[in-house]
Formats: sequence, C-alpha cells, structure tokens
Amino acid sequence: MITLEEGEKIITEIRKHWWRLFTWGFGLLVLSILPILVGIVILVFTGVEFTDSQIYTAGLFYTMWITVLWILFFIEWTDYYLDVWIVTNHRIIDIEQKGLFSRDIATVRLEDIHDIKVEFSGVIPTLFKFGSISVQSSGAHTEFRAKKAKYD
Amino acid sequence: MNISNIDFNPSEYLWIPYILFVLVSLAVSVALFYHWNSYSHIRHLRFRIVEIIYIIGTLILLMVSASFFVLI
Repeated sequence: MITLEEGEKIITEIRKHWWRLFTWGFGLLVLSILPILVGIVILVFTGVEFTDSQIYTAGLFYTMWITVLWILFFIEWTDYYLDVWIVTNHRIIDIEQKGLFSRDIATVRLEDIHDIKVEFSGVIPTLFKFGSISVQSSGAHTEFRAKKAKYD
Repeated sequence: MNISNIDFNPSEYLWIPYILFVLVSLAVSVALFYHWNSYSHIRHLRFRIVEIIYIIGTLILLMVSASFFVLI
C-alpha cells in the first residue's frame, strides 16, 4: 500500500509496454490450442473410437487446462499492471511486483536524482516505442531501472 | 480400434483432484483480488473491466468443467 504525502500529487505512471503482455498471451494461446491439435492427430492417425465418458473426461481435462492458462494470464497481467513507477511531484515510487506474494517498493526523492538515462534498441522496441529508463540517485537504492517501459 | 471395453470409471478417481483444482482456482482468485484491491489509488476503469472479465471468464470455465464432471 502506498501512502501519498501531504500535497503530493501523482503526475504519471510508467509501466512496461503491452508488448510483453501480448507475447505472454500469445504463448498461452498456443498452449491452449495444443491439446486440440494433439486430439485431432490421435483421431486422424490412429482411428481410435472413444466412448462418451472418455470424451467428457477429455473435455474436463481440457477445460481445467484452459482455466489454468486463464489464471496464469491474469497473474501475468497483475505483474504487468502492478509493476509500476509512480511519478509524483515529490518523488518516484518504484513498485516491483514479483509473482503474487512478493513486492519490492523503493522511492527516490526528486532532489536526490543525479542522472536519468533512457535507452532503446531493436526493431520492435523502436516500432512500439519502449525501452529502458535508469535513474541514478544518491540514496541507498542507487539505481532505479525500468525495463521495456513505454514512452511517448 | 475400440477402447470402450476398458473397465475404468474416471468419476470414481477424479473427484478429489477436481475438488482440489476448484479450491486452488478459487484461492488464486482471492489472492488476485487481494492484490487488485491493495492499490485502490492507482486503479482505473480498465482495472474494473479486467476484474469483471476475469470473474465472468473464471465462472464460465468452472461451470463448463463442472458440467463435464457431472456428465462423466
């Protein structure tokens, strides 16, 4: 939980680009189609006849598999959405969500920032406008780094 | 080839793992909602939309799997 100071206002939030979520989602989509392809291959090449009970069992396992993938996507979405830099008029708050049960929160006050570095390389980062942002500070947490951050 | 003569009734063996699966799914959903609600000040409309999509999708998937389980 983040508590804002008196007079502190959120200016912007910096997140990872949606490209990361898209690649993850695409991977899960491929995994969701895989059992159907395997089923088709078995039916076409072996000629096995299944009873209704066996078909329902396969349907049950497939639905369970889809549910697992569905939940995994939303866990990743949570990681994507809650992994954020909150830039306020006083400081930068770096929230790093690690799975569901681990979270790292660090802050740097704007007056402690020494240097900011933005870098992007590659075709996809250039096309979709995302890259790395590094903030050097004089505090104990000397460098903040946001990878695949979206920029305009 | 016909494999229907195999003497195996899946529903006798599947109900324990199925109940565990449903319980784990619900536990993970509760954990997700805990996280989503712990950032109330940065929640936007799309957060609400994603929540609704998640609830509806999860309920549909659990109902479909329950239907298959009953049919077995």
